[in-house]
Amino acid sequence: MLIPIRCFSCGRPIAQHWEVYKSRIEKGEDPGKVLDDLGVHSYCCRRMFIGHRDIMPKLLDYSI
Amino acid sequence: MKIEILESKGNTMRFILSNAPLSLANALRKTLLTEIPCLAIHEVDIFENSSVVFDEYIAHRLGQIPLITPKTYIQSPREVIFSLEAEGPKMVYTKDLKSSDPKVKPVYDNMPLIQLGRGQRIRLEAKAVIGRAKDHAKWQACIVHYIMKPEIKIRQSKIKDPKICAQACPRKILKVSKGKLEVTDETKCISCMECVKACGEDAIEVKHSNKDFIFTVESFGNMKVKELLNEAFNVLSQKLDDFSKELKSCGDAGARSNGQG
Repeated sequence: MLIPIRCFSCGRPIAQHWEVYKSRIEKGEDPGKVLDDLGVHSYCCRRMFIGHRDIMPKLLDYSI
Repeated sequence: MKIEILESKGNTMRFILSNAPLSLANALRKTLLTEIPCLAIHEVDIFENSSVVFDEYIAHRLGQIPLITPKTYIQSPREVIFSLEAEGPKMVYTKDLKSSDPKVKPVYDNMPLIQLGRGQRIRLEAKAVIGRAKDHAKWQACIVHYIMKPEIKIRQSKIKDPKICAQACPRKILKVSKGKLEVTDETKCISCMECVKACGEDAIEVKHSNKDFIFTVESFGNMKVKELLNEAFNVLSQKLDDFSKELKSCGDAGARSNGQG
């Protein structure tokens, strides 16, 4: 779905980095280096980005 | 007891709490984590939601948004109303939330809240209240940890090759000058004991002080780190006052019942 607002483990806000992260890895940059640049240092927050799949756009055609 | 700031950068601060008991250091850590009052969205009225996600999903995301909490709100707790109205196709961000008080707003403007497809609409009103992280983690204002200050003792006469010892340190805090081994910054030591392994236990010794603590406090943006610390000490001293008052009244009652009052 959408990127969670906070990290599951430590509670730091992370969603503010998502758009930058997404646009930069789409350009072919290394995710690890992008996260270093963004200041996401702890591994609990890093896995939130690396393990995330943005499936919201695919769901938009449907409704509940 | 003394506090000395080592480093203060943006939302993070490192400081040494020196000459203090371990129990105080841990009490300060726990207070910072769970007892700081701050604002978070607690109740949401959803009037219209034709998006692809459930109301609960949106409410849960709204609750977790960190909100800037001015000091006046802590002194006299009040509510803030946020309203949101949007129609797709668009991505709704935290900046789209309209606050009833211009001083209180989300810390970050660019957090994606919900994505709307063509013709999908959302209209809601959210109420933010003052709370504490011991009730729910959404009210957590910072993350904090401390280590006991490492103390490195070097016996120069017992060291065979200072270079090997200096290279063994992964934090690069040991350096050789004029054939002698020196410590550049004790506070960066992580007590990995690699230097002890390289030079021998009688040549170098890494110990911990049990009255000096190196704290790292990272604010989530609700308040500045200094305000957080002030608030933590306020809360802590208030708790201690309450405790000693209770204890005194207990003591008086106990003494009276024994006929010694």
